[in-house]
Order: sequence, then structure tokens, then C-alpha cells
Amino acid sequence: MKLLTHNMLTSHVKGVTKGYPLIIKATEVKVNELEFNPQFVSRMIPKLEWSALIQAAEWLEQSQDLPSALIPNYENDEEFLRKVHRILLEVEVIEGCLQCPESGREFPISKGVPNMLLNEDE
Amino acid sequence: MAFLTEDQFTALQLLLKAPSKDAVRQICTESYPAGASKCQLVVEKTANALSVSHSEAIQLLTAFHMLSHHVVYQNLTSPEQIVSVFPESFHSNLKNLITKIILENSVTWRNEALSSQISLPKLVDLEWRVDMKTASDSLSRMAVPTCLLQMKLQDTPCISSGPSESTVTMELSKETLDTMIDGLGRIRDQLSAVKQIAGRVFFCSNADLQTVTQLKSAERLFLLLHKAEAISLPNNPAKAAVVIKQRVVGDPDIWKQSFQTWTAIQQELQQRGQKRKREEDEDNDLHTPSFRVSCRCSGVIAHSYTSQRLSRIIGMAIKDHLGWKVDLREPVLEVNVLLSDDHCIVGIPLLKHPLASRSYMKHNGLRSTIAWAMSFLCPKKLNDCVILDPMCGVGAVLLEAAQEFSNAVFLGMDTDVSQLQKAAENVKASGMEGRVQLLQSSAMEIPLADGAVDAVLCDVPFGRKFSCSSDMPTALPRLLKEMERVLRVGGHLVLLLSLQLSAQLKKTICTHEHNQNTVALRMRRGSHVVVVRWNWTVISLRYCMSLRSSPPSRF
Repeated sequence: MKLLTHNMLTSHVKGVTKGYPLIIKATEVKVNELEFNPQFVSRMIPKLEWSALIQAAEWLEQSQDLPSALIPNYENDEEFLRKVHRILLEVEVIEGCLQCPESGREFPISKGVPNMLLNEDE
Repeated sequence: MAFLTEDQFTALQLLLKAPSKDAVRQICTESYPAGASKCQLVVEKTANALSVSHSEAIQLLTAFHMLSHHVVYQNLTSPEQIVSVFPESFHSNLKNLITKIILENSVTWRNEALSSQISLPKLVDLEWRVDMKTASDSLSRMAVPTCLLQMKLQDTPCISSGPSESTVTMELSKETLDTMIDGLGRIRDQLSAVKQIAGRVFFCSNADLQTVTQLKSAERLFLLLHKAEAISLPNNPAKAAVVIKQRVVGDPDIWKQSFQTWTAIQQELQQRGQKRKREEDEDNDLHTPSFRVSCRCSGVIAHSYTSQRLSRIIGMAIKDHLGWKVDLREPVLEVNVLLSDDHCIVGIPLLKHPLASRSYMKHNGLRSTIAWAMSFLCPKKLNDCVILDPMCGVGAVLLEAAQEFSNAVFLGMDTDVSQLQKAAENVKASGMEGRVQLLQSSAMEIPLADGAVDAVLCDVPFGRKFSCSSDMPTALPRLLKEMERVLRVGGHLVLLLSLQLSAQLKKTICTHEHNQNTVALRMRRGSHVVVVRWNWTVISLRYCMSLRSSPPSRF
């Protein structure tokens, strides 16, 4: 699971009102080099929940000294975009779990694929 | 007969009370349009004609409405098929009469059904006027002729209660008009050059080969030798061979010319390095290539001949007629013949591999051509966005879309781990690891925030080969509601549905306005739903529907 996916995921357990962001408890993290596309990254940034991304990177100890608030004019800051590219697309949680911040329900991540299935009574 | 209950068949028998056959005919045609049983006038007329009560008339109209729609949507075209719909005990003369009436009307009904589908607004009228645009000041005087063009557009009537018309007025300069005429002329040429029959499209093109071989929606590419009306073959093989020689093989010059064209195309393809050089002796093959025939036959011909036998007869005819050599194992040419009840088509495949085979798919899912057509229905500007397939299977739709939208992020969800594993392998093989993300989740409970994605593409299980835990017709409204929830305002939804599910969806969209409580499908302003149906009898994509949703104030 990449942090880009994590940034979009929310807990959908019944009754939970604020199931975002999901807490990451990783046991295996991998970093895969991927081709850097500055245009793509800078266009994705406005769609992201920035604080959740920074939080997630910190959980994985991959924060790259990125600021907790989004900087202005990031479009032209290649160094900044590279760092975002790194945490957004290259860092990947292989094993571990995601935890709903409100209900505490855990969703296992296995072979990089989070299992978000709920039981029928949830 | 699950679609019509016994009571409804009993209601149909009320037609026996009709004074004449014409009266039956009239009742039947009047009951076809949707809502006929609710129209007071029709009910009254029917009740009077048959001297039955109002409620009986309504039952009869509903029953016939369902029967005729069943026939149209199931594409029952022969009398035997229609007769088999009725239960054994049904009055036999009436059964035959109804069948006859349905057959008489089925073409009109079918066309009506096709034209009344949800679709883009249609142009109904065009008005124009030539204006002199003048501007004057002390320095210059100008007078430029321009054209004012007014287009009247009509929205599909089924979305709102009545047809809604809108007008667009625009100003065109002479130059723009010229460009437009050029473009329209080209469109007209294209339209007249393209002919289509079930599963096959015939076209002329002067585009370069590179472009033609990049056709994404075609399964295979053939050079057409000829296309003719269906032939009927006598049962006697010797006589059949004569007919084949005349009608299937025909003029040897056409074959020679076609072979030359084919050779030229092959050479061009080889030069592009797309194909391994064929191991063949070019000089010897220039006039008498080796060939093999593969014939597909259906309908009446298939009753008396097998395809192998026909292939052999056609092969012999070509050999006699043109002097080409038969080579079943490694022929230079493969001659493909299709003999059906409607057509006789002869073609030579241009490429060894089907166009539709995609090198990046390790596990095949949905046919790549269909998957491509689905992504094609999304607007091109869908770059830099998030696209979701909540029932992705092996990821065929996502990967095909990933080729089209090079800057989008894709999310694939499925409940089945084994499917996701295959999807992961496909993603890896296609080198899309950075852009396609997979997660295990149910499409009924998508773990995403409201409005999180820009487009949803989904091949909804029809419940035939693939199914989901609950049956699709009941699950569809809930599924749609969930997809709609995660779509952003102005997002796009493209679904591949069976004919039945598509009809159900159409009804859902059309009726929810009047009945807010039953179906909670509510499209936000500006959202687009594009629904593709896949008719199982036809390989090619036949129906595309798109609709602009009505503004939310109505709900």
C-alpha cells in the first residue's frame, strides 16, 4: 500500500463519524524506485490531505523533513516535489495493518494489499 | 416462465373476448408503449372493446406489455421462439395470433427501443441568417459578412417528464464555416465508407498502417475480398462446389489484386519491424502463394455442411481457379470465409496476432476491446485524476484505461484475493505499479471519502459467468448509490451492464424523480453516467448510452 492510497482511505465501520486518517502499524516497509514525474506530483498535491500524508510518513519514519504545512509555489520546487514523490509513490507498506482511529478496528495489510472488508455485522 | 406469471397468461386469454382479429391487433399495439396500462383512455377503450371490467383490462394491458417487451429485449425473432414462451395450456389459436401480431410489430418496436435509449441531446432543427457586421469610426469602415447559426437541441425525453428543447446560437465567420464544411464533409465520407453488420465493421481508409494497427476497439483486422448476400448451397457436394466457385471465389482478378495489396501491406509492416520476417520464398510466392481456408458457417448452411468440409470445398475451388497451393501447416495466406444466413464474407487477416491481444496482460479478464471502449467513453481531459474500479477482477479495465490516461491514478478493488493477486501480476507485467493501486474491499462499502474519485469504471458482474454475493438486480441500486457517493461532483461513471441490468438502471434513473423514497439514486449536478451494454450475441460494442443528469433541484 502506497501512502497515496492511504491518503484516500477512510474507515467505513458503521457508526464511525471520523475514521480518517487510518493509523498505520507497519511491520514491513519497502521503498521502490519509480520514475519521477514532477507534473504528476504537483497536480496530485492539491488533491491530497497534506497533514494526513505527513502524519503517515512520520509513522513510517520516512518524513524526509517535509513541512507540516504545505509550502506555497511548490510547483517549481523540484527538491520538494521529489520528496513528495518519494513518500507518495515509492514508500510502500508490505505487511502490517491499518487501524480505525475511532473504533479501533484493524484492517490487515498483506503482500502490500490492504484488506478493507468488513464483517456483515459491522 | 418466470417473467410472466400464470395469472398474466390468464389475463392474456381475455383477448378471446375480442369481437375481431383487428380488435386484438389494436389492443396489442396500443399496449406496447410504457405506461399504457395507466392511461385511462386506453384502459377504457380496451374494457369497452372486450366488454370486461377496468381492472381486467389493466391486467391484460400489463401482461401484454410485459410479453412484448420480453420478446423485444430477448431478441426473439422467429415464430418458434415466441410460441415457446407461452405455457402448454394456452389457447392455441390465440397463441398463434399474438405471435403473428408481435412479429408484425417487432421491427418497429425494436427500432423504437433503440431510439428511445438514453442518449446525448439530438439536433432537431437548424436555422441561419447571414449578417453584415459593421463597425465604423472615422478611420476605417468595415463590413464583414458573418453567419448566425441557431441549433435546436432536444434532450432525451425519458429523463424529464417531457422532451426538453434548448437552443444554441452562434456566430460563424466565413473561415470557420469553411473549416466546418470541410470537417462535416469528412464525417460524411467516413459515415458512408463505414458499414457494419453484427460483429464486423467494414471501412475504407487511407490512414497509414501504423494508425490502422493501433485500432483499439477491433478484435482482428482483415483485408476484405468481397462481401455479398448470403448464398444457399445445394446438398449435393458437386453442385455445391460449383456454387462456391461462382459465388465465394468469383473473379480471380480480385484475388490477384487483393494478394498484391496484402503483400504490399506485409512488406510495409516488416519494414516497421513489427513483424518477424516470414520464412518464405518471395519470388515463388508472388503469384501463387500457399494458402489455407478457414471457414465459419452458421444458420441453414451449418445444418448440411460442417466448417471443415466447407473449408475443403472452398480450398479446392481456389486451387482450381487461381492455381494457388494448399498448405495447411504454414501457409503464406489464410483465407477466412464467413457463411451465415445473412452474409457471405471473404477476407484475409492482415496481422498474425489479433489486434485485441495486449502484451501487457498476463491474465485475461474482460475483453480488451470492450475495456478500451469503456475508457474511451471518459472525456480525454481525465488526466491528473483518480479513477476507481470497485469490482476490478484481474484489472483489465484499469490497465486498459491506464494506457489512455497517462497521468491518472487508478484504484482497483475486489473482494476476492485470488483475483487481486492476478491483478497485481498484470499490473506488474504492464509496468504500471506506480499508478495502479489495489485493495481488497467490497463495492458495497467503499472505504473512500465522499467525492474522492473523478471517475468510476466498472464491469458489473452480470450474474452469468461472474457473480457477486447477492443477486445483481437487487444489489444494483445499492451499488450505484455507493459509486455515486465516492464520485466527485461532475465525475464520470461508466458501467458495463447486461441488457437486463441496463434496462433496470434506465428505469431506476427515469422513475426516481417521481418516487423519491424507493430508489435513493441521486446524481449530483453535472455528473455523467455512461452506460455500456454488452449484447452477448455480438462481439463488438453495440450500444453506448450517455446521459446528463438533471439538476438536483428536482429531487
